[in-house]
Amino acid sequence: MNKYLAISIACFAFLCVLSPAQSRATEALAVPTGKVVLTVGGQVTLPNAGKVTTFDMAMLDALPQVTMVTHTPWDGSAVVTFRGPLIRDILAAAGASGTKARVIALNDYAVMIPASDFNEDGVILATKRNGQRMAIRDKGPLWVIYPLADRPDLDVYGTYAKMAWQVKAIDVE
Amino acid sequence: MTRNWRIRIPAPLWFATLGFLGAAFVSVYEITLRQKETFESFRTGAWAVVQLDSEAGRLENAIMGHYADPLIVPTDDIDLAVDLLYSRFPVVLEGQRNSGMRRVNGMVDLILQAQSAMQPVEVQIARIKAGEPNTLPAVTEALRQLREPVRSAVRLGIALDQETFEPRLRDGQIGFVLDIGFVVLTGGFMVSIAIRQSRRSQRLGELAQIAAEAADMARGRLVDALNAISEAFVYFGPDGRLVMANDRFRQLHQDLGPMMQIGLDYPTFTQEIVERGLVKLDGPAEDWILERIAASAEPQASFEMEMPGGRIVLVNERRTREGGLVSVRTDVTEITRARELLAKRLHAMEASLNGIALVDPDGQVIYANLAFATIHEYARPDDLIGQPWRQFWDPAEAMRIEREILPTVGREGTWFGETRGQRAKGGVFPQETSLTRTSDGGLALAVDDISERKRAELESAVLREQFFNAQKLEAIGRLAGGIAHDFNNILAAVNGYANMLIEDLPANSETQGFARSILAAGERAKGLIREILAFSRTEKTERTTIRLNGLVDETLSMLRATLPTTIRLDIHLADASPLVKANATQISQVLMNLCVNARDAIDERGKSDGAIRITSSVVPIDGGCAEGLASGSGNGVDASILRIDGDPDADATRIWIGRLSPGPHVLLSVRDNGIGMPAEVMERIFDPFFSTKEVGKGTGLGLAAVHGIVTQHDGAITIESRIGEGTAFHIFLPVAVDRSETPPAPLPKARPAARSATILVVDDEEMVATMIARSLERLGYEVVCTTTPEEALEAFTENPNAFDIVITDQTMPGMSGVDLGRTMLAMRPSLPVILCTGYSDSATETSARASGIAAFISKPARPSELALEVERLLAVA
Repeated sequence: MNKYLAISIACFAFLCVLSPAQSRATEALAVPTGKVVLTVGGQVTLPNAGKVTTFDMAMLDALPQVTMVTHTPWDGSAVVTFRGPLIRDILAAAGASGTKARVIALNDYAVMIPASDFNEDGVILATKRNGQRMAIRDKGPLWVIYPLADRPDLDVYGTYAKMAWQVKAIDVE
Repeated sequence: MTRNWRIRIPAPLWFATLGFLGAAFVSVYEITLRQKETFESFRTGAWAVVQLDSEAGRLENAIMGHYADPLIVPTDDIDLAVDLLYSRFPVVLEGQRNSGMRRVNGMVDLILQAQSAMQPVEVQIARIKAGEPNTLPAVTEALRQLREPVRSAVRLGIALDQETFEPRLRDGQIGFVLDIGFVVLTGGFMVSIAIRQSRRSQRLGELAQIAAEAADMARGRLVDALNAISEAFVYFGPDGRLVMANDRFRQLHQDLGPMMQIGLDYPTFTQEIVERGLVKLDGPAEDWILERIAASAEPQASFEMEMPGGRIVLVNERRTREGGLVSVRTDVTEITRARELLAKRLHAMEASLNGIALVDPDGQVIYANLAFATIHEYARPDDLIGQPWRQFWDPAEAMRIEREILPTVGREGTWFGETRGQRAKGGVFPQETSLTRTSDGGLALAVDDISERKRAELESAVLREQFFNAQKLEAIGRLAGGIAHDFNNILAAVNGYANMLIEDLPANSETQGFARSILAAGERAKGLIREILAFSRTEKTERTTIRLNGLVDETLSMLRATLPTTIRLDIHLADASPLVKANATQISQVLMNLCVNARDAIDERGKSDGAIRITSSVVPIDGGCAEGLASGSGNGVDASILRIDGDPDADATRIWIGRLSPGPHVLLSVRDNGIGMPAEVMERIFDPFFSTKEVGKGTGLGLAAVHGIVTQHDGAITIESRIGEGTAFHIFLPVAVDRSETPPAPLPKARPAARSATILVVDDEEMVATMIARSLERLGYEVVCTTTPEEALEAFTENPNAFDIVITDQTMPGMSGVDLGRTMLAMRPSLPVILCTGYSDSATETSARASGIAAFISKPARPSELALEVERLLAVA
């Protein structure tokens, strides 16, 4: 009985933690004050610039941050520490909902990612690499990062294609 | 042993092969994978290069756009384009998934060239931003410098992709197949080599196993073989420790028990043997042990060892090449005993009285014992060695042995029989011979000189014959006694009736002369019967003084009838007829025997002018006369031959038998001109039953009787004979000293009965009874004649006093004369009984006299004699 009680309490606590974000997400986002680095378009319910929701780097930093330590196919054998918000949090902040999202890079490279990846795999949109902001020349400023180190099943060619860098927009469909 | 000929690949080899194949496959796969990755990364890289080119194009467009309308295309776009272009360089140069591209020859150089071309471009962009005029040519040139290598890289990548990498990929697949094939082939080759090696090693292993099994089997066989031999075998290794001992050895040393184990060392073994008493020692044990150990170091000769229980073991020790000690122990107890036995036998052979010799297959003597040498008159047995066997037999006998006996020996292995051996000095002797084939094809001879035995056998045969003859003689005597009884009865009748004829016939008439002759012959026959009886009873016969000439005449007159007319008789008798004290019948017998022998000698010679000369004379014997018949000891009764004197030149032989006392002797000679006789015959002529005559013609007793008679009469005999000319017998008899003795007075003539008397006559011979009765009746007596004792007894019992005298025969069926007389005397003791006996028997006479028999008359009773006795008894009564 104590076990169930403990689980119930844990669930309650979790909901309590989530509830302010949830409540905040329902609120209209502020207009970015800095340079817009990300535009979330498509089925967005909380737009802040027309039909899209735009984010500056501060807005993204305001979202809950996740640190992810992993290797990538672009860094050789080196292990790199990425940090940034979960994409699902970004989409939630934009009030976006859909089954998939088109992630578009600065050079117009685009890749379709199913929404389940964001909800289940904990994919982040990294804003920092090894604690540093990423320049465009270094695949910045935003980079879709999958937890390759923690999830070997994801460490495959298909995943690499979805790990777009120089991300500038996400269109939710 | 099961031998698996299937190839068996050892597990490690399998693993190695599999490992190798796996590794090969993995490496090929990896290579292929890497290659594929290379191709993949090349393609990715080519894409990255294309992107680089498009970014370069974006930059050029941005710059050119800015030139066209700075409002539409701000410098930020140019900066973004620059940043984007810059961000592509690391992707191409460092991106993991683009590594294939970088391996393309010249690719990296082109990219680096493009990267380095960025600096002039940025300089020109800075000039544009600064608003410097007339920058277009330089910008265009800078951009051209940038795009040129990028486009070249793109071209290179595409060209490679189309012309090189695709075929190479294709080739790579073929190469993969080839590589796999090569790997498989190489692997297969290696595996086949490995399998072959494995097979070889397996075969070698199997061979080694087979060899090991064979060696094991061989060793097993060796052990089996060593266990099978009758000798005890033991092997101490070079380290002096027991390696092997066969069953026989263990059996022989079973008292050692568990000690006999592999590893037992020789000194301990030796010591144990001594301590457990497995060897009989003469001296101290320590000495023996030390001696054995020392000797085993350098074993030389074999030695014999006596074990308890008397077993003798021959120990033979040798060192093996590697220094081990092999000891073979043979139980030689039997051999030793056999050897001893052999020695004893040899000794016995040496000592044997039988001659023993061994002959080799070549027929030469290789061994002879002393007896063999002695029998054959050799000094030493060694003298015979090497001599041919034939030498020991008479040549003819040797031939017989070779032709007849040796084949038998060859067939049956042995032969036993009599042969004639030959001595070294030439004598031939009879021998018993045993010939046995020896295993080497030679002969074993055993001979026994039987000449002595033969002689003895001959003598014993003679003695046996004599014995048989004596028995025969005795039988003849008994027979003669029986015949004499009957013959006497006949003579009694003949003589009785002859007497009656003489009395009745006219005196001096011719017929009365005949009757006298019958009577004389009858009397002689009576004498002869008496002699036969005397001979059969070996009683000394009665001797009287007789005139020899008369006796000779009388004998010859009887003899003449038996001699053939072709033989002339010359008779020259001494003028004065000498007297001799002798038994007339015997002397007559001597003369008759000599004359019969003379006749036979003449017959044998087959001469028609045969003559027998009979002479008598008187010769004095004084010691030097009578041709060597010297006076000897007393009466000189000596049957042995005194001397034989052979005269080879003249073929004359003389023999002297008997000894004579000095004094006058009558010499009676009988000389014939017959065949004569050799010394050998003469030597034996007086032996009883010796006869040269055919069986049935002579008894061999004639001359023996002559000899006996002459020596009984103190006489002697000499014989001289010449082969082919004749023989002379000379009989010497002493001249009778008592010259006064007169010839017996003729019996007084029976006179007529003085008084009347009745006489009972009993004789089972009716003829005799009748004759007696008639002669007594003629004298005037009354006679009752009966032929059986029962009849006589009946007549007597009827009236015992009716008879004055009883005359009875002794031998009658049913009752003897003595018994009859005794019965009658019991009834009438004063009865005179006259007993007539067929032959004189002192026992009968004694018992008869005791029974009261009054008188005896010898049969055949002469009627006159009987009449005189009757007259005398009647006178007494």
